Order: sequence, then structure tokens, then C-alpha cells
Amino acid sequence: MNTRKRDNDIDIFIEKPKRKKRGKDFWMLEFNVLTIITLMLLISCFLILGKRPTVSNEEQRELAKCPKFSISSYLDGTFTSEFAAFFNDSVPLRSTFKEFIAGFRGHLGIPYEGVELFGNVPTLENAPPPATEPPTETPTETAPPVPVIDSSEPSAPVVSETVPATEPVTEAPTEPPEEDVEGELTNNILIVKDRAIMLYGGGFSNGQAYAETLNQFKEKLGDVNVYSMVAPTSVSYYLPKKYQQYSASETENIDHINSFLNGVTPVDVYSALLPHKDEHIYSRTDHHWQPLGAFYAAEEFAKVAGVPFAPLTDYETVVKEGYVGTLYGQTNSKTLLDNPEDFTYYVPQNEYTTTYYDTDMTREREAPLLLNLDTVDRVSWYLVFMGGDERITHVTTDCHNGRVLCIIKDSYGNALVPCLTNSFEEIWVIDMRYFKPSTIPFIQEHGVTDLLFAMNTYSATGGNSKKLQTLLNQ
Amino acid sequence: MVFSSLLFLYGFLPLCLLCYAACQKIWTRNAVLIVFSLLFYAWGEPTRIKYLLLSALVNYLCGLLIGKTGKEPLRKLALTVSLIFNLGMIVVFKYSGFLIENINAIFGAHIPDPGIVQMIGISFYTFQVMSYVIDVYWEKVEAQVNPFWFLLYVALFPQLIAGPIVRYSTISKEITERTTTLSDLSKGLTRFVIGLAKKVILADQLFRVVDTFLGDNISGLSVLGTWYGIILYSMYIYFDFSGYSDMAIGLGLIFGFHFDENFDHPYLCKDITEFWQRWHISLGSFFRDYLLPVPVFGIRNKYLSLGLVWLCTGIWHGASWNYILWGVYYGAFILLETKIGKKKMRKIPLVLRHIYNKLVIIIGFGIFYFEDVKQLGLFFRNLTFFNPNGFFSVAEQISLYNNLYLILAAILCTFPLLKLPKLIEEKAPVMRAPLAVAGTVVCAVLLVVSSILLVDSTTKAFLYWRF
Repeated sequence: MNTRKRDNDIDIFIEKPKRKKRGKDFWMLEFNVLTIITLMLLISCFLILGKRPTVSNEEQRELAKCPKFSISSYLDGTFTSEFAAFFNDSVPLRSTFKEFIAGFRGHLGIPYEGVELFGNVPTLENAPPPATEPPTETPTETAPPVPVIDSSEPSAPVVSETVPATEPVTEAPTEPPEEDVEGELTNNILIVKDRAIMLYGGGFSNGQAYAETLNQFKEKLGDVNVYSMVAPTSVSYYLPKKYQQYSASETENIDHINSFLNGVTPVDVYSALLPHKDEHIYSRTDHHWQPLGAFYAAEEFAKVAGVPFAPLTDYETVVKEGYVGTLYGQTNSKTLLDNPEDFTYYVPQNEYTTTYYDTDMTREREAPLLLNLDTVDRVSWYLVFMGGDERITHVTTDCHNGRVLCIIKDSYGNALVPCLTNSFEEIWVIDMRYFKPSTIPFIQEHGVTDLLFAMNTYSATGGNSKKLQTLLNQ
Repeated sequence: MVFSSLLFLYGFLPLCLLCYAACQKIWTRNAVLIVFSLLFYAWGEPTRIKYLLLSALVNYLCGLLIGKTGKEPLRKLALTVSLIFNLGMIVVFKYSGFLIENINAIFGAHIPDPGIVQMIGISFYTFQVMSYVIDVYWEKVEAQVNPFWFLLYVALFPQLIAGPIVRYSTISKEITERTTTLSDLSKGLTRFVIGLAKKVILADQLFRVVDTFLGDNISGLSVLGTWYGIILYSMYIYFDFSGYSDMAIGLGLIFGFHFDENFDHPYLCKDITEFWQRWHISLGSFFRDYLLPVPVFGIRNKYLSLGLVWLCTGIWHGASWNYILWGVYYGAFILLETKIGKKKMRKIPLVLRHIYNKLVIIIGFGIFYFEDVKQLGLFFRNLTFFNPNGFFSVAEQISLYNNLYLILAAILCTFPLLKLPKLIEEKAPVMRAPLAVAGTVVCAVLLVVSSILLVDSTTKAFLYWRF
């Protein structure tokens, strides 16, 4: 029996089925095919014709660009892989879809006592106590074992903190930052209630190298007071006891560093911040501290350095609501997205002027120390301080005590600067990752009396500490 | 290009479908498929596509010689040439690094590694052409006279790079005579979307959890953490691979080709022998049909032949010792089951049989997962009470809670859920139309959700790509 042409078996691409010969299932099949094909074509049009973003604010990175075709790039396979990456990465409405994905993942299960885990289960081997021999005897030998995960150089996206080009003060840097230059983020993040906590991997050997580099700075600079401020991150204050096995101890690492310092004065930020634990000293959704945390750290530094320090009441307080920081981009966690926090910063009211230079000390220009955040995406509000990391900043204040401070820092150090405008006559701010001039002559030429190294534990005990050695010798 | 990428789904595929639908004659349709298949392959292998074309040419000529000449010596010669060529291709493009590394290690030689990266899909398409040549030799199929039609069989993009291993006999007629009926189109699209969802919604999400536990150094994992990771990996690999097969079969249907099934709910198996009848069926049947009958060790020594089959199954999966171990491991259990005998196996309570085979399968996937011998050693240590990290840690608890619905859904999806609508329909024919509409709506939702999830760049390529 030839049933062809009678029911639904004719070739759909060639012949149009005649109405009277259609089988009883015809409409169901037609509905199914039309729905799926229409949907596919609509999505195709959307992806091909829609406006593609070039930057992801949440992830703080540039999205993959459309590669230029050339025979050689095609033959070595880079064109096809880059094109596929571009097509996938710069999808129209990307951040909306990422929010959908966050929501989707948030519904894959239930939080356990309000805890979510991102990244790997950290496999910390119990780090043996750090070497305690005097630093002068064995300066470079026998570094204590390093814990297994090296989160100082994560595969996490590079955070290149730049400000929108429209800002008058802080135009985009002329050179892109080096890859992995900001070794501050880690892949291993625990969300406890509504707070994201980066699990610290530790790094005793880098810590020792950090301390020894600072000692060399002190040796070369002679009379200049040198300070080491290694700031802990929120893991030291907010990681519940139950999960402490998953993070190395920042205080142990800081103590280890301090044990190697020679002629360099440590600034104990951990203890200074501890009594303020219940205040908003660390961001819940960002890997930085809050300006308030930096304020208490600066207070401790001022105490150690013997300089005046203005109380919080002398500042104008600015509260920005709805802050969702970098750790949302890292985890894509719905919990963080749904629980924004405030970003509160303090504007000094005394007289001061701020001058910016490019990383090679060219292009001098005057501009405010604190950025207007109105046009800045919320994830980047930490950029309020000097508009980001790269530029060399010079602040001259109405404080006439003859003290000139130079801060060599990572992004944690940025937040200290406004808190010290009442404490020093001049402040030079150098980012250890971008600064190009010869460092020692620079410090000497500008009459620096106090040199502060200010960075978090990830930088001091991670790959960034190697940049200090470069600075010392450049 | 992977099927589960936005570029394939919304660039390549619609374009291919539009061109295909615009053609009326079989030869123009075939031309469209050949062009798109070659584009598809050249996307991942811009220069080495020549080897694919060479393989097609050599095997086409050998097939022709075998099929169209009556002289036995010539037939044997052509078969030998073809087999040497095909096995040589696989050895060079897949195992050269591994072989040289081991020769250097064993004999203390210093042969430089040529650094040949494995060619995409070589294990699949080479096995396809081998099955063709052998079938022609055994006179099971007729040799294809048209070289372009033969190229279409070799390069057909739905099954080119990650299977299933389609026999020539399965689609020989459809190469020149096929129709895309509305019913096939509907089934094909549905199957494709289901495969995509299995890959993106289940496999990729499961892999995130697997990676949390097994992605880094596993030395600190607890006993339960290790088991948890590897159980989820076993589920991941099933959804990843069977999802790909679903997509391939679905694409085949869209173009009017009817491929054989490659998976049949393998985790429902009652013993290991049955597992391999349900898992990667096209590979198992290839070795069964083409390697087992070859009297390598004398026709009566079936155990040695069985050993060879499992050794080859292991090696086929990758150029690393753990895969060989994995193959031998399965061979040993199948030998054990053969020795016990079907009748005695059936007498063992079903619960025990399920516990036994799941344990074997899960530990087997551990061997499969850890290419690094040290990590594999740690894995075995971690599974047992020799694990110094304790039986349990809070990480598993957090992860299990955080992914509870995903894991439950994954377990549920290892059962033949898609048979449910048919069962309901049989009991209540009135439900036919509502079920069809619901099916379409579910498909549409799965397609949209999968597509959005693909925006996340952490998406992994299909695992079986490297085979």
C-alpha cells in the first residue's frame, strides 16, 4: 500500500501538503516545527542584527572583539576561534542574560545555612609555622612550604580599573594594563548569607620576598621612614569558624612578613580594624574594603607615623546606594545581585590640590581627588579614589608639618589617600604595577620623608610582590 | 565548531537549513550538505581538512577496487592498503606523542616529539570508513561509485566529529534517495533541542559542580567529597555525550537521514555487559562486528579476543594510560560476568546487581577522568578509609544543598522520561493534542533557556571531541 502523498510523508521542503490530504497529526507537527524554526530564526536575527556590547561592567573586562580576517589568521586557526569567541562573548543584552543565568543558577538548589560555594574546594595543606630565623641570616633560602592553592595569580578575569573616558580627570589609560597584573581576585569564593568572602590561599615564600624587598628599600633610602601596611581582606573577619579549614590565615601570613622586616615599621591593620568588625568596613559584594575600613587603617598608620589625623566628623559623608561590586561578576551569584549594599565614602574638607601624571610622569594635569560617581557604573564605584589605579597622583595639602608621604600601593591603598590629607604636607601615590620612572631617585628627588607600602595580603603574598622588586631596581 | 555554541545554532545551522530547503533535487541537496560539512570541519581544522579529503579518497578507491573487481588477491590488497592507511592515520594523528613518550621512557631513547595535536573527529570518521571498506569486502554493502556521495558519507557534519559511528549500510540508500517529511523534521528538531538541553542545562551545570571538587588538586578532599565529585562526573559525562548523540541524530532526521541510536538509558543496566549494550552503542557494536570475528589469537581463544576488544576500547578513548586501564578494567568485569554466566547472574538479587554495576561504572569513570597517574592514585586513596581528610567535610554539604534540584533532575533524566507522553497517550488518547502542544512549549522553553545559558563563556566543549 502506498501511503505516500496521502499523509504527512511527503518531502516538506519540496511539496506543499494539500489541505485535504493532510493526516490528523499534521497540525501538531506543523505547530512544533513552526514554533522551533521561528524561534531559531528570531534568535538568529537578534544575535546577528542586535547591538553588541564591547565591555562588560560587571566582569570589568573588554569583551572579545570581532577579529580581522586574513589568510594567515585563518590558516593558523586564530580567526575561527576568535570569531567564535566574539560571537559568543559580545551577545546583545549580555548583562541581562547574565542576570538571568544568575537567577537560574540560584534556583538549582537551596542555600545551606545561607552559604554558597564558588570555585574549587580549596585543598589547603596545613601550612607549617613559618620560619622564624632572623632575616639577616638566611635572607633568601628555605622558604616555608606554600599552601597548595596559589590564588595570588588566579585565572580570574583581570580587573583593569579604568574610568569612563568622559570623566575630565581620569581619561582611560593610554596603555592597557599587563595581563594578570592585578592578582587580587581568587576563584574560590564562599557566600555566607549575603556576603561574598574570598578564600585566601596564602603564600609564605612570596611574603618573605616581600619583606626582604622592603628591607632593601629601607637600606637604599636611609633616613626615610618605611612602613609596611598589609591589609587583611574580609575573610579574616567574617569567615565563620566552621569554614576556616578552607582558608589560610591572613594574620599568620602578615606576622610571618613582619618577622622578616628589618628597619621597616609594620602597621597592624588587622588589630586596628577588629574592634570595628560590626561596622561597614568591608564590602559584601566587592573584593575591596569599604572607605570606612581604610579610614581606620589610615588612623592606625597616622598613629604609627606620629602625624595628626582628622576625625570622621571633619569629612563630608557621601552615601551611594545600590552598590553591587566585582564579586558579583566573579560569582554571577543571585544572592549578591539581590542584596546590594551602600558605598559610603568621605570627602575631606580641608584645602588640598591634586595633580595627576601618566605612569611615566608626563601629561601633568590638575583634577579633583575624588571622582564624581554619577556616570560610573555601580560595580566600579571603588574608582572614586583618583579614578583608579594607574596614574601617579600628587596631593598638596594645607597641613604644614614638613612630612612628605609616598604610598606604593595596590588598589587597597587608593582608599587611604583622602584620609591622609590632614596628616601630610604632600602625598605621592604610586601604583606598584604601573609606575615607570626610577623609583629610588623619584622618592629622593621629591623629598619624601615617609614611604608607605599599602596593599592587601593577596598582593603582598602573591605574584604582585614581585613587582616591588622590579620597582626597586628600575 | 561545537553544536552547543551560539555560532553553530544561530549562524551555521539556519544558513545550512535555508540553503538545503531551497534545493529540490537530491544532487543539489547533497552538494549543499557536502559544502557545509567541509566548512564545518574546516572551521576547526583549517589546514588538516586535506587529510579528511585524502582519507575519503583512499577509502573510496579501495572500496571501488574491492567491490568492483572479482579478483581475490586484488580485493585483499585493497583491504590491506585501506586498513594500514586508516590505522596509520589514527596512530599518527592521535597516538604519536603518547607512543614516542613511552618508547623514550622504556628504551631510554630520545626521539623528539613531533608535537602533533590530535585531529578533530579522527577516531570517528576513520572508524566509519573502516566499517565501509570491511563491509564492502564482506559483500554486505555495495561499493559507492560516486566519489562525492562517498565524501558525503564520510564528512556529513551531524556525525563527523563526535559520532555516532554511522555504518555505511545505515544510510547508503538515503544518500541518493531521501525525503524530509514533516514528521521527521518535527522529530529531528525536538530531538536536537532535547540534546542541546541535556548538554547545556544538565551537563554543563553538573560540570561546574564536578570542577569544584575534582578540578583542582584533590589531595584535600574527604571520602564523601570524592565520591560526590565522581558520581556527579558520571552523570555529567552521560548527559554530555548522549546529548551530543541526540543532537547528531536530530540533525540527521532534519536532513532525512536515519542514524541508529547510540545510547539507551545506560544507567538502567543490571550488569556491566548490559551497560555496554546501552552506552555508546555504535562503538561497542563496531568492535563486536569488526574486531571480535578477526581470529587474531586463533579462532577458539575467545577470551584473548575479548581482551583485545577491551584493550582497543580503552585505547580508542585517548592516548593515555588511564584509558587503557579503563578498557582493561571493563574487560575484566565482563569476563567475570561471562564466567559467572547469565543464569547465575540473574539469580543475584536485583538491588545487589544495581549496587555492583553502579559502583563499577562510577569508579570506572574515576579511572577515565584522571589522566594524571598521581591524581588517580590520590583518587583511589580518597575513596577509601585511607583518606587522611576524614569521611566528610562541610563542602559537600554546601554543594549538595546548593545544587539539590539540579542533581535530582539529573537523576530523574537518566530514566526514559520521554516514553511517558506515549504511555499517557495510549491510556488516554484524548490527551494526544494537549501533550503535543505541551511538548512544543517545553521544547521552546528548553531552547531559549539553553541559548541564554550559552552566553556564559564557561561553557565546555563536548568531552568526546577529543576522541
